[in-house]
Amino acid sequence: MSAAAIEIRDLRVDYGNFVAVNDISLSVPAGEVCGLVGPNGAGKTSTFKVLTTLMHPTYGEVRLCDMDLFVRPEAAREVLGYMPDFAPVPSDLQLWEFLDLFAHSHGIGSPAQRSDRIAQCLEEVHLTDKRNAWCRELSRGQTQRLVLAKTLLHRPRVMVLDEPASGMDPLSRRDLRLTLRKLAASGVAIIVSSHILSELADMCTSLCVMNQGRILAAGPVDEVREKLGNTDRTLTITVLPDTAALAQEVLAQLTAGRELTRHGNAFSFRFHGSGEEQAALLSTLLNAGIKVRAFEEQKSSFEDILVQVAEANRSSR
Amino acid sequence: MTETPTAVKPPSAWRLWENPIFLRYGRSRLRKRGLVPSLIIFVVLAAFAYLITPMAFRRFDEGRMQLKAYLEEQAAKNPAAKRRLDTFLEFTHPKIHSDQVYQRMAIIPLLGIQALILFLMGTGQVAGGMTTERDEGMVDYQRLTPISPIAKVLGYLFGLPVREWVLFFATGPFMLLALWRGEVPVSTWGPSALIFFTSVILYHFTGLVAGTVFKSRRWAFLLSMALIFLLYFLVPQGSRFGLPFLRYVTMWPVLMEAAPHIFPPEPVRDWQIMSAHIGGAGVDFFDSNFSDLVFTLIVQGSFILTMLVMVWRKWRQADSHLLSKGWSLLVFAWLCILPIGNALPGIRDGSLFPVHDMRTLMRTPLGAAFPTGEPRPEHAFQMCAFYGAVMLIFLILLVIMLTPAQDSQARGLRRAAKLKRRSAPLFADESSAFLVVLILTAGGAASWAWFTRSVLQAKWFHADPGGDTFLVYFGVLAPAIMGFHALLEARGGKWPFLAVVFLGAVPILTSLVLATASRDVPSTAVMVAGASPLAQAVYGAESFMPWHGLRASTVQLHDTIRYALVIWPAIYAIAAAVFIVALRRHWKRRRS
Repeated sequence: MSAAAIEIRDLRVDYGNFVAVNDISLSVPAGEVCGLVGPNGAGKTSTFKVLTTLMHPTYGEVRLCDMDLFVRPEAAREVLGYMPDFAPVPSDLQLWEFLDLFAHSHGIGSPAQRSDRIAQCLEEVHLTDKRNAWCRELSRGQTQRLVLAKTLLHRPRVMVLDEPASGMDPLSRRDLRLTLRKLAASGVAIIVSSHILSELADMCTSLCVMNQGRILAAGPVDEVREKLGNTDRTLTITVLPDTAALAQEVLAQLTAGRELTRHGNAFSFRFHGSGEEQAALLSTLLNAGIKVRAFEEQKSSFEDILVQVAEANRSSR
Repeated sequence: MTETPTAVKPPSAWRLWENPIFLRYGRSRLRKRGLVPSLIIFVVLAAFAYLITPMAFRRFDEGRMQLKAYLEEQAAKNPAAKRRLDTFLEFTHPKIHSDQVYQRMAIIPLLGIQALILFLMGTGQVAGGMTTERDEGMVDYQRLTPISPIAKVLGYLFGLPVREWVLFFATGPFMLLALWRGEVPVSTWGPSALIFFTSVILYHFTGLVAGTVFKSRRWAFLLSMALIFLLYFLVPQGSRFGLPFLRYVTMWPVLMEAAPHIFPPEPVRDWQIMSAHIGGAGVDFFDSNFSDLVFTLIVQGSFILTMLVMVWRKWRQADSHLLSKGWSLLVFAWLCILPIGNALPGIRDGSLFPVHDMRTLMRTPLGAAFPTGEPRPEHAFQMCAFYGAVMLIFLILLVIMLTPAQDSQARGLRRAAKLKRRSAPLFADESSAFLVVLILTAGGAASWAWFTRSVLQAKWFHADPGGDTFLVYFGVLAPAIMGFHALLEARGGKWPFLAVVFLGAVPILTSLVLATASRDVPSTAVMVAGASPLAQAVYGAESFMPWHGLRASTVQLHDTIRYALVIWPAIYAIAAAVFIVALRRHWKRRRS
C-alpha cells in the first residue's frame, strides 16, 4: 500500500507564455483518494490531461504503477481509468452496448464475461434497471454514473476523476463516496477534482491544493489546512439562561478586541489559539461558574480557503 | 469491487470481426429502423437497373437498326441521302448484339449505384462520423483504451460506413447476375473489383483524415465530398498536362483496360478518347512497364499508406502533426519520383504532350475539328508550368503539416533547456521545420528542373536550359515557401493562411481585370500577376522555353515576364529574410 501508484516529478505544462503547471511534484500511494483542488486556472485540468496521456507536458516525469507514462503510454492506459468532466456518451447506443464497447476495448474476455462484468458495474452505480435504455435518455447525474461504471470496467489501479459528482443528486453522491472508499480499500489510487470542496474533504484521504500552476499544500486534510496557515475557527458557546449575563461578562474579557456576537444564550467569536488554549478557555468558563451546555468549534471551510486564494490571485493581478 | 485487475489482452488489429469499434458501429448503424428503409431503396434501385438496362439498350439498338433500314431505303431512292446514311453509320455503328452483351450493359448503372453508395455516402459517413465522435468526446475515451492505434484506425475505417458496406453487398447479387449472365470471366472483372475496393479504401481514408482534422461535422463532410470530386474529376485532368500518374488515383484506367473485353468496342473507344486513356498498353515507369492494375495499386497504395500514417499518428497522440518530418521527406521524395518516372518515357515517345490527346481524337470524326501537329514549345510550357504550380501547392501543404504550433514549439524548446540541450531533436514535431522545409524546397526545385530539362531535351526541341534551371526554380520557390514557413512558425494563427490566399489569388485576379479593361496594358497585367507565387512558377517555366519567331508584342511580354521573375522573387526574398530574423527572435523568446 505504501508504494506510490501515481508519481509526478517536476511536471511543467506551458501554453505559449502561460505556465499552466509549474514544476509540480506529487505522489499518491495505492489505496489513497487524493483530492486536487484549486481555483479556475490553477492547473488541475492540465495535470489531468498529462496524467491521462492526452497531452505531452513541457517536461517532467509521470509514473503510473511504476510505468513511465511517456515511454509506455499504451501499458499505462491498461491500469488507468479516467472519468472526464462533462463525461460524454454516444447518443446511438444503449447502456449495455456502450459499456460492452469499452469492456471489449480493454480486452475483457468472452461476451459472457463481459456481460457479467457490465452487470456488476451497473449494479455498483445503481443503473441495472436502465441496462437497455438509450444513453441519450439519461439525466446528467445518470450519465455521470454510467461513465463511472465505464471507468470501473477494467478494474483500473489508478483512477483519475474530474468533477465526478457534478450533476449527481445527494444520494448518488453518497454512493459515489462509498464506491471510491471501497475502491481505495482494494488498493486503487484515486485522484479526484471537484468544486464541491466540502464533499471532497469527506471523500479524500489527502488533498493537494493548486494555485497558479503550483502546489500550495499537499497531504492529509488537516495537515493541508494547517499548511495553508488557516487555523482560525469559530467557537460557539451555549450556556444556560441563568448564567448568560456572567458568560457575557467573562467572554468579553477573554475575547478583548475581537468581535463577540450573542444570539440568545449562544455566544460566537473567532479564535485562533492552539488546542491547549482552547481547552484552557473552557476551563476558565467552568471555573467562573458558567453552566456551559454546548461548546462547538467550526473550522474555516475549504471554500473559504480557496476563496482567499482566488482573491489573493485577483488582487495580485 | 475488491478484485485484482483483470489481465488485459486487447483485441488484435487485423481481426476486424473482433474489433470493438467495428462491432460498436455494427450495432448502432445496422439497427432495423435505419437499415431497412435504405436497404429497400437501394435493392429496388439495383433491381430496376438490372432489369431495365439490357432491355433499354436492346430497344435502342433496334430503333437504330430501323433508322438505318429507313436511311438505306432513302439512299437507294435518292443518292443525295447517301451522305446522311454515311454520317449516321460513322457515328452510331448500329448493330444488334448478343444477349450476353446486353446483360453486361447492366454493369454500368449497377457500378454507378455501388459507387454512389460507397464512394459518396460511405466517405461522407466516415468524415462526418469521425467528427461526431470527436464532438461527443468519444475519441478521447477511445484514445485511452489499450487497443493499438492501427486497430482503432481499422475499426473506424470499416465501422463508420458499415451500413454502406451492407447496402453495397445487398446490390452485389445483381452485379454478379449481370456478370454471370453476361458471361464475363473473373479474370476480366476481378482487377476492376480489386481497384474498386482500393479506391473505396482510399476515399474512406480521405474522409477519415478530413474528419480527424476538421472540427465541424459539416465542414468535414463537405471537405470529403470536395476531395472525392477533386480526386475523381479534377486531379486526373492533370494527366493531360504532363502528370499522368494523377489518373491512377481513380479506377478509370483499370476500367478502361477491362472495358473492351466487356462492352461493344465502339462506345468503349469513345469513352477512352474522352478520358484520354487508351487501356491495355500498360504504364511506363522509368524503364519498367506495369499493367494499369499494378500501377494503380502502387499509386493508390502509396496514398493509402500516407493517410494511414496520418491517422495512426493522430490516434497515437492527439497533438501530433499529420506527418512526421521524416515521413514527409519520404512522401515528398515519392511525389517527385512518381511523376518523373511516369513522365520520362512519355517525353521520349511524345505521348506525354497535350498534343497527343488531340492526335488521338483526330482518329475519330469528332477530332477532325482539331488541328494536328508535333509537340510545340507552348505544350512544353504548359507542362512545365503545371509541374511547378503543383510542386508549389505540395510544398505549401507540407509546410502547413510540418510547422509546429507555437505552444508545442515553446514546450520543445523549454524541455530542451531543462535537459541542457540546445534545441528539441531535429525530427521531433515540436522542433522547427526550417531545415526540413528548406530540403523539401530544394528537392521540389530539383525535380521540377529535372522535368523541365527532360521535356526540353526531347527530340522536338533539342534545347538545353543548363544548370540554371535549378537555380531559377529554387529562386522562385524558396522565397515564397521559406517566407510562408517563417511567418507561420513565428506568428501562427490565420494570418499566414490569409497571406497565402491573398498573395496567391489577388494579383492574378487584379491582372485579369487590368488585362480585360484595356488592350494596351498586358505588360502591366503580367507584372502585377507576378506578385503571386503561382504566377512566378509559371513565369519560371516560361523563361526556359525555346520560343522561336515571336512577334514584337509577344517579345515585350516575354521581357516583362523576365523582369517580373527578378523583381518579385527578390521582394519575396527580402520579406522571407525579415520573417526568418523574426522567427529567430521568437525561438529565443519561446525558449525562456
